Amino acid sequence: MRKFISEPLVHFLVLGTVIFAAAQLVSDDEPFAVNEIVVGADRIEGLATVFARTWQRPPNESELQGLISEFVREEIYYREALALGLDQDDIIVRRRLRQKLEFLSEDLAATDSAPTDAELAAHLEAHPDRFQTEVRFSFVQVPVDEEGDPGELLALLREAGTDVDTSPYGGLALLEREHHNVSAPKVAMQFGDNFTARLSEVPLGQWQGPIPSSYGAHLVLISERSAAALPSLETIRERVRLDLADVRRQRAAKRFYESLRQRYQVTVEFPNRTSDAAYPEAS
Amino acid sequence: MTQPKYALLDASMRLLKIALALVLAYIATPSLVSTARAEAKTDTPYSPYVDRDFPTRPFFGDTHLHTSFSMDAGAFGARLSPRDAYKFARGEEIATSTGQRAKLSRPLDFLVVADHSDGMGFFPLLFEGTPEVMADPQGKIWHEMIKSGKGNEAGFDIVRKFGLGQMPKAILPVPGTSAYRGAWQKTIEAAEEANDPGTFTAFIGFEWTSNTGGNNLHRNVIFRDDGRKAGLVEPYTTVKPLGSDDPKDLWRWMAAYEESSGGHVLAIPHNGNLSNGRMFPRIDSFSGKPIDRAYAEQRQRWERLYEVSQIKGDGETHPLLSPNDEFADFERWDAGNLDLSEPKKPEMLEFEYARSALRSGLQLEQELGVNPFKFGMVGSTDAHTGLSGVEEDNFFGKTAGSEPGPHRSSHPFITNPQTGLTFHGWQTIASGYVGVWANENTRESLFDAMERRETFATTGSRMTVRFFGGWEFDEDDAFQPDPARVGYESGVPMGSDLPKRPRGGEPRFLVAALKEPGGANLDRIQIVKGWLDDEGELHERVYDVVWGDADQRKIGRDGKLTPVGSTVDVENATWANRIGDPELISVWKDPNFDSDQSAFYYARVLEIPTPRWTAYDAKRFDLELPPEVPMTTQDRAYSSPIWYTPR
Repeated sequence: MRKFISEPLVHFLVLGTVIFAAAQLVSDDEPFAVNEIVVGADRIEGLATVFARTWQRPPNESELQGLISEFVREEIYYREALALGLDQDDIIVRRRLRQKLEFLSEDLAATDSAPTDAELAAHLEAHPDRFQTEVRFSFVQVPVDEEGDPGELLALLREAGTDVDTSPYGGLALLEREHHNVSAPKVAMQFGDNFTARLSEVPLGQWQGPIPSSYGAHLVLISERSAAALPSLETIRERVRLDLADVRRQRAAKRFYESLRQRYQVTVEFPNRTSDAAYPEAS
Repeated sequence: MTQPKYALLDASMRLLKIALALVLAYIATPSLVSTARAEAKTDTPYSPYVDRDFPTRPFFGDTHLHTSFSMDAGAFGARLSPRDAYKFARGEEIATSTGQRAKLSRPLDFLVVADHSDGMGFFPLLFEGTPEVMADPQGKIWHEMIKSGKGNEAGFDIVRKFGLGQMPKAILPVPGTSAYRGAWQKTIEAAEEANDPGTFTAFIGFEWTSNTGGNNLHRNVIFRDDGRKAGLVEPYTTVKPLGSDDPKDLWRWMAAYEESSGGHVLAIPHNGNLSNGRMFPRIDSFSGKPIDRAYAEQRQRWERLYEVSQIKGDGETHPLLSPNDEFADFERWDAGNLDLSEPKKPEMLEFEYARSALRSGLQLEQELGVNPFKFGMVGSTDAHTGLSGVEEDNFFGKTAGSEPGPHRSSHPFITNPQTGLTFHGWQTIASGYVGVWANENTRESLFDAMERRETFATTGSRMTVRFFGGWEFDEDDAFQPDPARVGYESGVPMGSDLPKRPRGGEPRFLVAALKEPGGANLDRIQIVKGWLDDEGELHERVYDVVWGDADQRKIGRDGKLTPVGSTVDVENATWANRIGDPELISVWKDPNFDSDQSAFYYARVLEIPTPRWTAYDAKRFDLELPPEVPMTTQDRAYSSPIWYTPR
């Protein structure tokens, strides 16, 4: 019995009966006032359009009937749920509504007029770090034993020069030996940041190393190394546009919230605290 | 001084004449033409790398990430949008839903944001100035305000009138109209912006969440296409009348999309472990009848991959299904279905785990003529945080509430008062990612690789796994400087069928793994074989094929390899690469091959033990966790299988 009483469904039913009975008592209406639901042509067209976007064809007669009766059922439940106040204090409803309003304000930002060339150029100039081309390397690497002394192999490779076939030497067969025109972040993804930093320092055209990496150590021959540069607006217009749009979107969202916030006076009433330790952390 | 010059000229003239003669001959004589062509064919370039048209490195990604656009994720408190999710995956630092600074150790190569859709859009309609808008006096005023740069004021006025219930009815967006944009459209936009062919791939996708009775039959749907095609449809849902919770209806929807748009989609199921015996059925739980050939064909057409590992448990196999597999008991979630409304019964297990499904597929192929469960392996996160962060020392949890914090490991994750069952917070696992052997990092190339199942699942680390099957590999092939070249030349990659068997011989496999950059060394590579014997009985066996510290470790009398040991210091959450090997390669041939029995083989790669995310949490937040909480883990990878079918 105790378990029965603690069932949420039981709470719901009991509460529902009470509310219903109370509503009957205070209301002068007929016991079952008839509410009206009109499923108009617009609505039917809307239902059919959603169906067509899902299935890539219009609904047939019985499918349309199904859509309509499902809509009616949903509408009735929706209205009844609202009447019972089930939307109140429901975290999903609250967050969903918040999200809808956020979408709305985002859409608003998206309708801002397209940025001019001058604005794009200014944005590019203000944030060179975001648009700089990456340093790129072409290099060959030979994995060597981290603890061993690779001096002999290094001497041998230096002797053999830049055209040497490295396949007889070193370990790690799954790690690619030749890397052509690879950007620094991609090198770092594979070999780690320290390795990439060293690639930027050591001389070109001669075997160097050992250089430590995320795998161990390597002898390295760099054939090319391009410097970072800021591209012209012409070549990266779309990227700059997207970045600026993103910045504006965030700014607009902030402004939007702030202006809403201004219309509220917020009072926070903490329960009486015995000590500051009552709220050790916010989680 | 002039002599050499003339000589040079002379020589050039002579060359020119020869060339001319050759060209004339080429044009004049058909027989010469074919000879010249034959010569060109054998005349391959000197550089062995010129025409290398096979994948040289795997691309790592996550095919299954939720953001605040998912209803449940939003309710859990997720604040990040698909745009944020792509930024994080690309390696940028972002602020999480709980305000923490977060960054991946290294960027991912691709990401699929798989959210649910519906939403609303109004401003684009207004901005466009559609006839309906312009016909309404208020609509016209707002439109002109926006056009003249007073968008913000217009916005507030609109919101105010919304609140007062004074919106002109004529211009309210009606669901279904083309101007009605929702979360789906925003998801597409975010993917289009983040997609950067060659550097980072942002797939368009969504999750279809069939969950009737709390039994998980979820699928992620991924588009090969761009927004122009994907934007033609609304994602398929599970609610009637528009949607359905039956996967067969999802497949119909996928077929309808492909037919009308000319695009391509695939679906990846996940969490069979929470389906209570329904993920890999023999009896279709929707029709109540045994699955038939049509089911097998459709499933094989649309679902060529299975998400074998993710935060809600690893699904390779189960100790009750694989009693002889000493590594079978890994991060299992076997208390019940997704909402824990129904406890697990042992007889459900064989319809839930990848290995038993691969086995059952062999049997079904014999019965139906088509193997419905011929799938490759992927791992993904299924995180609901917008953060694809499943590194053990950088685990950002399942939901916003389980982002790093002192209570996330001790809080229940899912609990059902009716059954009294609980999945605990500490049971969530920092898993997984997928490695895709694609030629390039583009939507098309990655998608096609997924369709041919050239993928491997990992439980969150990013080791490289190669797996080739054939009839001709010999032991020396393991010592080639470029094993992949041999693999593709003399065999087939993971996800394929073995080529036709030459007379005699047993299948051989070239298998190799390289540790994650900066990650843990490797313990061993195993090959898992499943087969169907002449009596129609199914079997499986796990072979240790190659292992680290080979000079000190042997397979004992009991058939077990000496354990690799452990360097983990739980208290300090550290480990060292003093044991194991950074790379393992071997050629293995099946010692128990029977050419009349169908079989599958896949590789399992184990790392040496490392601290589990719970150990990093305990260290960071100074926690005393109960003894049942595992504090070390052995991250692993599963390759897609290679199948053998008798002919």
